[in-house]
Amino acid sequence: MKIYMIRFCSALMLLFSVNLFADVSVIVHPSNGSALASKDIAKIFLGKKKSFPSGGKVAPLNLKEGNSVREQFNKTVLGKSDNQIKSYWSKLIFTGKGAPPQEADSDAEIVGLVKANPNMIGYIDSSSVTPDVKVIFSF
Amino acid sequence: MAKPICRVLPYALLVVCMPSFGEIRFNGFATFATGLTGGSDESLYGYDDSLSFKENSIFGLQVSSDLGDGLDATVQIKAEGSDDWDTVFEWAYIGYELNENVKFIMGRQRQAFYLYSQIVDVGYAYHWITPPRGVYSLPFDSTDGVSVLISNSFGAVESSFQLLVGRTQTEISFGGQASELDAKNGITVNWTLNYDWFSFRIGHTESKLDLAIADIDDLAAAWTTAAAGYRLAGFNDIAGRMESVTGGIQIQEDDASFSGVGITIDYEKFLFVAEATRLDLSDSFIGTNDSAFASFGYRINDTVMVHFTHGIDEDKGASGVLDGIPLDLTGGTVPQLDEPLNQLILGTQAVLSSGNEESDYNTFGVRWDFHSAAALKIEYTQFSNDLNRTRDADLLQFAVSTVF
Repeated sequence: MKIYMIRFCSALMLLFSVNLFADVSVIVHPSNGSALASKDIAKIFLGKKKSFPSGGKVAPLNLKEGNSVREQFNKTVLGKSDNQIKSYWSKLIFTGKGAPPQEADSDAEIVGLVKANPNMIGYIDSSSVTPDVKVIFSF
Repeated sequence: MAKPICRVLPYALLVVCMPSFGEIRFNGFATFATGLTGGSDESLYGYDDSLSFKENSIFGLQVSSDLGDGLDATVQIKAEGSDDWDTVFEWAYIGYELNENVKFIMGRQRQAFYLYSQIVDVGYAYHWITPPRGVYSLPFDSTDGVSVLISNSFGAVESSFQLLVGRTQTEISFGGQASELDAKNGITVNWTLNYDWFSFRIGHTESKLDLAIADIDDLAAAWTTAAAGYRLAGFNDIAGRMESVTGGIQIQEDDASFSGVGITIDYEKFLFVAEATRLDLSDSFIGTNDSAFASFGYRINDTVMVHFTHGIDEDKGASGVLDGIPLDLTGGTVPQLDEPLNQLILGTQAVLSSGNEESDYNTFGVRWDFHSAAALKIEYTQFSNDLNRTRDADLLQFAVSTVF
């Protein structure tokens, strides 16, 4: 019994450490030459910045709600909890001032969308990064 | 509950069945609210001492279509319990984004009188069950017209400026009476500056207002009749002064203005919101209404916020309306007219003083985001009427708000 408990606890700790220390990468199309700081990325994902510094229109991609990478992105880059972000978007949606980013189900879907469209920008677990996309920011 | 869905559904189906030229988005919001006052002789904000489920319960559905090249069409349909679940179009507009900084909105839209005007129905978007009703007291929010929204960034400061030109024709309830309201030549400007955790807003609206209230019109007609009597008897001076009372109490082609200023500080665990507004209808019996509140919120964790709000209202009915009318007319005038006139003066004084209000309230509340798309809110409000203690009341309210 004791051994099981220890195993269970260590499994739990592993889970926590994975969640806490997963690196997140912000990715764009390889042809995108923009340099973006964390603040610029936040503006893009809050709908305040609608084009890249290089001029192209920007289309941000979110992971689905409840995804731990999304939570980490919201906390670190946007500085807000998921609930606060939802409340933020409800203010814009119902006043005609903006729509939240398109949502994708998985890291792989984000990679697929970003590599096919130079306007897109997304964030994924760093372990999911492929050579098809360019990492412009990670944390 | 079945009623709003039956009414909203045909519109929704209509939109779904139309050939689709652009991406159609559905968004909705809902608040289910209930509350009761602390005693059988107390009533506040539409509540009494029996639980009511109608006040502040709102269901809304927004359908918008992105037509490409900066063009979009949006309708927002709302059904409110306090309105017998009648569906109304709060927003119905064509939007055109000229460029990243300039957007035009043409059609029915929310008039931004207040900080939270445009999202006042979307309870999920703020911490209270409803924004403080002392301040959020104008009887209408939507107008038909055209507005331009200009957004700019100056370094870390974002500026958003709106100019709205419109006309509002609607029926409002005034003291329980249905009254026709027509706000013509309406011009609204409002400007918001936003710096990360700090935002400042200032707004001003002007219009020519007609508001037909049966009791007030009857009173005005009585003055006109009385003035005619004195004129016939040869008292032209006093008749003239009496005729001017009519204009001083009625709302006809009156200059109406509304101003508001507000700040929001949303810094990590702390939220502070304060707003002050003034309604000026000095050429009518309403006079001026000044209102303000300050609200503090503290986030205990990611899902729970406790908050406290203090608000004050000071309404002053028009003054000086009866200045030219001597209260006791004896000798020199017409005795058989004087007695009814004295009654009329007393009646008019009562109407003018009914426009006076001094009140304040304290609201303690908690918002708990128990679900990723829904929040439970509980609030306790203590209301004191400084001019009439029998109107003091305590109110306990509960609500669940969601967006979908």
